[in-house]
Amino acid sequence: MNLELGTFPVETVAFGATPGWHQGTLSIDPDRIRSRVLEDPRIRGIRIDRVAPGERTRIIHVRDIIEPRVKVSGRGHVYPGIAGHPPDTVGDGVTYRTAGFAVLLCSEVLPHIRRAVSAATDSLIDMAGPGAVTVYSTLRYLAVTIETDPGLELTEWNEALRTAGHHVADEVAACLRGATPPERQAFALTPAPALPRVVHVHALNASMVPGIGTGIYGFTPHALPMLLHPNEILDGAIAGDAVVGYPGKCTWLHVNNPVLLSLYPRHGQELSWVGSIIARTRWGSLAEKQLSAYQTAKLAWMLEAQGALVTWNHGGNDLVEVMLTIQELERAGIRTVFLTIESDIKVVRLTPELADTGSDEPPLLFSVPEADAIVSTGTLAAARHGPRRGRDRPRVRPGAARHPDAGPRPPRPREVVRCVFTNLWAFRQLRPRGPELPRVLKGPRAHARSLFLLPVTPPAGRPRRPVRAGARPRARGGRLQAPSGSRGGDAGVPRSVLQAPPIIRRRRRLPPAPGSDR
Amino acid sequence: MVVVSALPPLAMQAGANRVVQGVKIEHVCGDPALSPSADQALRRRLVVAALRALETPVVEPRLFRVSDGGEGDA
Repeated sequence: MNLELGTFPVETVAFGATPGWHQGTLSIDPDRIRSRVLEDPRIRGIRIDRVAPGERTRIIHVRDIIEPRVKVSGRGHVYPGIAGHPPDTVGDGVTYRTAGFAVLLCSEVLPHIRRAVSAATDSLIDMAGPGAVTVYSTLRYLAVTIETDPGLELTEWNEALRTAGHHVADEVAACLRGATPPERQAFALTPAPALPRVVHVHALNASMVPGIGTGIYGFTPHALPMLLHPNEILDGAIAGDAVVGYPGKCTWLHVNNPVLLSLYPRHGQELSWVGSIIARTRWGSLAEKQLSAYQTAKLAWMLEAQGALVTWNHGGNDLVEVMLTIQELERAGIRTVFLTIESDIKVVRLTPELADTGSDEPPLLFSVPEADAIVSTGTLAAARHGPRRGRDRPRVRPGAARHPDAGPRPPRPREVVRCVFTNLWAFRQLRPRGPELPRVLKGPRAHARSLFLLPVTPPAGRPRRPVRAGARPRARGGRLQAPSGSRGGDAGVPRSVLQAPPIIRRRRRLPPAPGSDR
Repeated sequence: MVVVSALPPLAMQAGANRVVQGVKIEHVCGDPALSPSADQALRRRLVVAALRALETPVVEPRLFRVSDGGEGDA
């Protein structure tokens, strides 16, 4: 399976009638995108914005982030098995992609959807200010805000939104077809017989709610582990849904999985990478978790793996089968390293104080004695002192007493940057603090509103400076209306891209940490 | 104290001393896939197992299964 990725770096996004890429400028025809999306009767309205890193902009109601990719030769369609794409096996041929640019799908989670999926949380992305700490703040976006038919039930709603997002991405990617990519990179697992055989065990959440969740070729249910060629993942075989706006589930992250991109250069040099076992997690019973662990270890053993790198895209009870898998791999004689964030996302309180004290921070939920090589990528607490460097990250063994000869305690990670998912890149889910707490709302939409991580009205005394003339805050409800001069399908669609956002400020300034670079 | 848990290893690692194996995370003390009468019987066996665990002296975390005792085997 040989894949060549042709990369088109995007430095400017322009709106124009002739879509295409030329010397870093990506031209997009918004009218064409609008009409393509509005072909679906389930979609009531669409609004299109451009967002760039560094703008004083906050994006809310994030549903997914999709990197436009297109197959110019080889079998199948990128992001197979979803949005009308055929489920043919991908990973072979030539695929073109944009770099530094993605389609950002936004839509409000309606109350009945939120009732159907308690985990239908919203995330936000700040493009500037202290909240702009994740990889998602570094991308340029075509932000597409969708208003759906309010009567859609969960799976239909998810399907409508995801299809809209992929249709937009397909439209954008199609214009790359005739162009020549300035960068090309080949990906192949050429046999490297003399080197240690290493398998990547990619533990991946499945949804406990049927019909939604991250899918493999669109297949979302819990299933026993399967083997994927990394090229399949690079061609979009794993894709997120539009329900849970959780950062580790974004489609963008799967095709830019830093684990794959770190293992590939080492293949044939330091190790022989035998593939990625996808082990679905979040099984409901212990017996299922145990079976998944047994079968994952068996697959690794059949691949004659000598080493395993286990990553996960986080969760709560998911850690049980991840740890059981590590246990089984070690029992099968496969030396196993676990790459993870240090704390449980469901448990940890996102405060810098907890991260600083260290001892009070809830550790990983569960561990096994065999998990004796764990690489930490940080914690989930709020950023305080700027990004940590990778080499500063300490190795940890949760639950283990510190050896008396271990020397000075390594510095505690003070923040999470670039972490969650396969745990190199995090997305901080910012929670409003202090004076910016959401107001208590009343009425049928109050519950849904109160779960948004966004102050619903700008805090008193903090002037909001709309960048775009005509944008004005609504007196009640906390949403900005579309600018009065907006045209076409944009009218009436609530904005997901808020300019001059109420940036979360630290309440007190703290001295920089020793050795910090800020 | 006794804990009925879908994930006994987790409960025992957290220090629970008597742990009864429950059914699933979504439905720890029953199984909606069973018929109402079978579900009721299962729930009864779980409660009986929990009560038996409660009257058993323990010195360290111990797992009790429904099949360990109670009225009939699971």
